[in-house]
Formats: sequence, C-alpha cells, structure tokens
Amino acid sequence: MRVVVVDDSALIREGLLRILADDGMDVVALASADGLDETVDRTTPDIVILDIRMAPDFSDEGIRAAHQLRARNPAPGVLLLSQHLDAHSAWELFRDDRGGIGYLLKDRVLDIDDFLASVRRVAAGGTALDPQVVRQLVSLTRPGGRLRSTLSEREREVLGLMAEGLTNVAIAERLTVGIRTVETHVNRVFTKLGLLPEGHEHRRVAAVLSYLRDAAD
Amino acid sequence: MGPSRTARPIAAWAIAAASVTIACWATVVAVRDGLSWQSFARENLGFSIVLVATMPILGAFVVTRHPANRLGWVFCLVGPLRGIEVIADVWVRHTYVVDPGSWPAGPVATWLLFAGPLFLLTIAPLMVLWFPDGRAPSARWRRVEIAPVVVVLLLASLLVLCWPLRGQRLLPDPPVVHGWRRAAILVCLVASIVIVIGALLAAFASLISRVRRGDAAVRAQGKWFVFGAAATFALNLVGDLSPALAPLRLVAAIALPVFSVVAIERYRLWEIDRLINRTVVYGVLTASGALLYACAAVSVGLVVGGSGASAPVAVAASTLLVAALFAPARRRVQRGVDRRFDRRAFDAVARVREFGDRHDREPVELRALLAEVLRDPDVVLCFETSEGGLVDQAGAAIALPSNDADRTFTLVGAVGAPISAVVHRRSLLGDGRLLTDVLRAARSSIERAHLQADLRIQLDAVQRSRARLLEATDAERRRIERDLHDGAQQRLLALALRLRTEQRRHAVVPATSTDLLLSAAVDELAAAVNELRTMTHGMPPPALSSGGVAAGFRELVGRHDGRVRLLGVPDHRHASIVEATAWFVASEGLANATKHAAHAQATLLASCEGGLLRVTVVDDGTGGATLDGSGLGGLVDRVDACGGRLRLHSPTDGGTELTAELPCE
Repeated sequence: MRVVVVDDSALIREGLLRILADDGMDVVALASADGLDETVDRTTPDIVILDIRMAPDFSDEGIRAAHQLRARNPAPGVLLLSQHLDAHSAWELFRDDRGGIGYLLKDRVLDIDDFLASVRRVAAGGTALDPQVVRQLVSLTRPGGRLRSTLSEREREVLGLMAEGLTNVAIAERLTVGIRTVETHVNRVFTKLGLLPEGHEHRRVAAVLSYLRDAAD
Repeated sequence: MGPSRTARPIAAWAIAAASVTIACWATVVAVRDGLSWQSFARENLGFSIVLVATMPILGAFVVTRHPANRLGWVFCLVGPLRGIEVIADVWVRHTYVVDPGSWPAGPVATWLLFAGPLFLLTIAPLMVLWFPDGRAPSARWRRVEIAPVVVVLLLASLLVLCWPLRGQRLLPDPPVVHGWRRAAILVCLVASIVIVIGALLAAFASLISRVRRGDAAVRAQGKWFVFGAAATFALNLVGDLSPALAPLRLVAAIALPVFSVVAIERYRLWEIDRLINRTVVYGVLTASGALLYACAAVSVGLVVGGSGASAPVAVAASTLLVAALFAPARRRVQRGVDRRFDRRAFDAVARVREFGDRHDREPVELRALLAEVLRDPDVVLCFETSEGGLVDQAGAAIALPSNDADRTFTLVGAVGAPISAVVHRRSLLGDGRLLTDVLRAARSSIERAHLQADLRIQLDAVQRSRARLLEATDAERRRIERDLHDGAQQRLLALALRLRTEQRRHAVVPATSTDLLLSAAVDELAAAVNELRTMTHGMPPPALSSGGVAAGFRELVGRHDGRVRLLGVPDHRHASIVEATAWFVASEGLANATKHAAHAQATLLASCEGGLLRVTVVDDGTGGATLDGSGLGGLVDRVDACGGRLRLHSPTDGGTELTAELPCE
C-alpha cells in the first residue's frame, strides 16, 4: 500500500513514517502541501495523510489540499489529522457519500493498531471519523432538524462510536455496558433514522453521515 | 468720461475745504458783529453755517468711497449754495446794521440772500430720489430728475426779473416791483414751489417703491434714512421746547445727512433694527417717566399740602417712584417693542432662551433647534478642540466652508472661552438681526454643547485606547496559543509517537518491565498533550480568526459534549476585537453554565441586527449567578471596552441568561 504523509512538523512526520513503514507500507513524506499534486501524480498513493494546520498560514491548508485531492480521478483516500477539533471546516469533505475520507485527532495516532486500521479503511474507500469530531458535528446540527430531537444522548453516543467504525461488541466494551443494551440502542438509532439494521460496517458509518447530512442541510 | 478717478475726489474735497473756509469766515465776522451763542443756535444763520461746514465733508467722503454715487456731489453742492446765503447774510448784517455803508455791494448781497435758499430747494428731491445708490430706482422714476432742471430755470428767470428786489427786510425802504414783472415773479415762484413739492412727493414715493422691491440690505438702508428723518423731526421739536435745548436744532440739521451717509457706507448696516428698537424703548420710557414724574409730583404735592416746604418731598418721592419703576418698566417695554418690531427674531430668541434654561434638554437637540429657528436645515455646530482641530457635536472632524456662495459661518464665544462656530446659509447675514440675536441668546447653550463635545472626544480617546489594549492582549493570546500548538504540543506528541513505535518494534510477550514503563510514559505524554489542549480552551481558537464568530462558536460548542445547543449564528465578519469579545462571552457563559449547573442544557445564540452583534447564553441550571465572579466580571470590562453592554439575568429559582450587545458597524 502506498501512502503519502504531509505534515510540517519533522518529528511527527518522522513518527508517522516509522509507524506506517513498520507496518509494511510504502511511504513518501512531505513537509508541505506545495509539491503534493506532483507527488500524487508520480506515486499514485492509496491514501494521503494530511495535517490540517500547516505553514505558511497555519489555518486550513490541509483541508484545501484535501479538496483538491478529492477532485482528482481516481481520488486517493484522504485522512486528515488535526491537533484541534474543528470539524465544521472539514464537514464539506463528508457531504458526498463517496467514502475514502477520514478525520482524526492527532493523538489517536498513539493507539497504533486503531490508527493503522483507520488508514486501511479509508484507503479502501471507507470512512474514519474521530468520535469527538462526530460529537462536535452532532452538537452543531440544528435542534430544529428532523432527526436530532428524536435521538437520546446515549443514542448519540452510540452513533458516534458507530461512526468511528466500532462493532457492537467494541461499543459495549467502550461504554462498559452489555452487548444487548448496545444492540438495543443501535437498532433504535437505525429505526429512528429509517435504516434497516444490517451488519455492514460501511453502512453503519453511512448511517451516521446521512444523519449528519440530513441535519446539516 | 468726466475727470479722472483721482480728480473727482480732489475736486470734492476742494469744495469741502472752500465751504469750511466760508463757514469759518462767516462765523468770525458774525461773532465780531455781536453774534451770541443763543442767537447762533436759534437763528437761521447757525443752522446754515453748520450745514455749510458739514455737508460737503460728508459729500466728499461719499465721492471718495463711492465715486459712482451722485449723492456725494449733491451733498457737496449744498456747501457752496448754502455758503452764498451765509456770506450774503453776514455781509448784509455788517454793511446795513453793524457798520452801515462800510462794505460795498450791499444790494447784490441782499439779492443773493434771497436767491440762496431758493436754489437749495431744487436739490432736496434729488437727495431722496437718489438715495442710497445715486440713481433713480428705475427709468420711470428718472423723469423726476427733470424737475430740478425746470426749477433752476424758473428760479433763474425769477431772480433776473426781481433784481434788485432785496431779500431781507433790513433795508429802510425796500424796493417794490410792480406790474407784469410782479405777476411773472409770482408765477415763477408758485410754479417752482409746486414743482419742488411734487418732485419731493415723487421722490418719497420712489424711495418707498425702492425699499419695497429691494432686498434686506436696501430695506435696512431705507430704515436708516427714515430714522434720520425722524431724528431730525424729533430733535427740532425738542429744540423748540426751551432755549436751553435749542442747540439740538443744530444737531437736527445734520442728522439726516449723517444717517444717509451711514446707510450708503453700509457701516453696521444691520444695527439699525437695534437702534430703532432701543430708541423706541427709551423714548417710551422717557416719555412715560416724565409723565409719571409730573403726575406723582402733583399728587404728592396735593396730599402733603402747600407748595413751598413740601416741594422737595414731592420731588424726592416722585424721583424714587420713577427710579423704582425704571428697571421693570424697561423690561416690559423692551419685550413689547421686541415682539412688535420683529416677531420672528423675538420668538426665535424666546425659544433659544427657554432651551438654555431647561437642563433636561440634550445639547444634541441644540442643532435641531437652531436649524429650526434660523430656518436653515443644514445648520452645523462646530467646536474648536484643544488640539486646534474642528469637530461637530458628535466629535467627528469637520471643515468650515470657504468661499462658498451659499454657506458661511459665524464665530461664537467670549474672549478666552472655547471658540465655536455656527455654519449657516449666507443669506442669513442679510436677514436683519435674526442671526445675531439668536446666537447671542444661544451662547451659553453653545458653550455647554462645546464642553460636551470635548468630553465626548476624550471619552472616545479613552474608549479607543481600551480597545487597543484589548486587541494587543488578544494578539498575545493568539501567539501563545500558536506557540503551544506548534511547539510544545507537537514535540510531546512526536516524542510519544516515537516511544510507541520503539515499543512496538521491540515488543515481546509477555511484556517486560521496560515495556510497561514505555506504555506508562506514552500515556503520560498523551495526557500532557490533552492538558495543553485544554489549556488553550480559554483562548479563542484559530477557527475564530479564520472563520469568524460562526466558526469560533461551532468549535466552542463542540467542546461541550452535546449539552450545548447552537442557534443561528450570522456568517458576517466583524472587527477582530468584536469577534474575540463575542467568543469570550460565549466561552465564559458556557463555562459558567456547566460549572454551576452540572447537568443543565445550555443554548448559545447570536444575531446581528441594526449594527449590534447580540450574543446570548441561556441555561436551565440553578441560577443565582452574579457578574462579580472572576470570569463574568472580566467580561463586563471587556464588553465595555468594545463599547457594548453586558446583561445577566439569573434568578435564584433557576435559569441564567447572559446577553452581550456589541456594536459591529
């Protein structure tokens, strides 16, 4: 698997490179988004991992680069890493349901297995959303929205974990509740969203995203 | 063209000099021949000498200042014409009365004595017809100018016919004219008088028509003329009352010409209204005072009885009475006269005075009031600042109109007081005393407004400096936030990542103590990164500077685990200080909501309307919050520095509402 890493911090860049290389991935690291297009042309990566805030302006360079990458055909997967929770600025990237997009807080990287799983999922056209990001997106959606008022706080929490791509078992572990309880919550979320409770992972994330899209429109 | 420009004044002053010489010579001769001051003041000779000595000087003055104004020459002409009469008068007295037969040409002198006054009559209509610019008002009125010519011809023939008729009846045997010559003389005389009277009437009619059609300046000139005529009349009247007052008649002789010249010269033209006003006021006061004095003196005399011993009592009592009544009577008469003479100015001044007396009126309303009473909607008040600039009432810099056809300005302010200026339409200058009276009455109000404007400017400066301080603090905060993010946080994270990678590379089962130590170190580092992130939570996020209030609020709400709802945030961008303040209000408000109301639901909403950015945080917690708390208390100062307002409604029975209104033009 070919990966391009873009981060202006040499230390982080080096760390990511090691993790990914240790996992047997083919990694090219860049210090800024300037040469990104050319590098992507050359290496045709499966995924590009982008830091959001980079030199020179330290605002949303990563998000702008992500939009450009998404406009390519074929588009590589894009995984955004951020030190900050600023999901709104990235939300546009999730509006279409093409997949192959992820948004994680940087410290998720420390949980290496989870991180590598997210990288693979996004590269394969899946979605990875940091639970905190989902929580932020959910709380930002308007309360007048058709769906938001129908979900309880626990259901929103479950929905966030679903968006992360966790299975029901993992959610039960994370919330330290019984698997039956989680299944009940998940089923209720699906019912409320009007989706059939199938076990497919991507469909679960799509459920979350469709919920967010619906509310954001 | 006639003589050159400099020759005319020289000729006029020469006439004046000759006339003054004649007057002096005549006075000297008359005094030597036994003329007393009393007879000088009362008889025709004194009157004539005064005219001869003054009229040509006034005339020469007018010729010099206004070469095109023929009235100057008319005035000059009075000198020689009247001078002939004066010479003849003195001559005749000397050679027939004082020292008979001592001087030659007695008959000629008596003949001239008869002729002088007649010629003077011919120019009298011109003095009215040509007032004030030396021309008849229109071609129609110019026909009146024929009259003096005809009269001169008639008088010339009359004089030829009556030779050697003597004027004064000083001769022991006055020659008498008989037959056809007598008839012709009578016809000429009557015709001349009729024509002169007709011309005078026509001239007055022309003056009335001129004043009616003319602008305010011409009206004021007309008033000066009428005032002069009235003064002449009044002085003559008073002069006739007693011998002591007789010299007033000499003053009366030159009153009209002097006032005419003032009008021509337009010297303090607009003071005429005040002059008339004061004259009427004091005239009425003097008359009623005298009447009252007389009545009181008689009454007291009657009551006390007798005349001799009680007379001083009556005089003292009447004087006291008149003195006591003077001040209130003066005010009353003044008000009455003001109201009658210029109702508009009177009302305007009354309104401005009333404004000044009431302290509940905002000085801002002063401009509106002045605009209304001066009938100029564009009136502007401006004040000189201590730095020497000019500002309007709102404290904004302003420039005075320069060389503008429509606008001009008048300065207001006592010596040593701050100077203010009122910008108004130029035509107000020619609109009588309205402007001067209103500004005089408004002076204290204007000075008060000036002080207020000064205060406002200083307040603005303080406000601006506070805002600058705040902005500097915000910039510093952003810098710290960036340093934490790009420095410490990144380094810690990278270190953790590195340790984690090494740990993975050398992982063995079961885990060694080193392995566990590494795990613990990574966890510690992750906690440190998290802590740093939390630290920056009190600072406006980058999203605020890049995306404005909307983005900043979204980020903020995201930090609060779904217990905060965000309602409609406007997408407008504002000044960074306003955005930062809005963010701080939201941040502190939400922090307060979650701190005091553990499980409360909070709502954050913002709206931007009418130049106000309104940020509200509502929660359904326990309530009872105060603005004294360090977090919210700091907000008060911050919002204040932005020129905004912070309100807190937090009843003890639950619920808190924090609202900030920030100006955001």
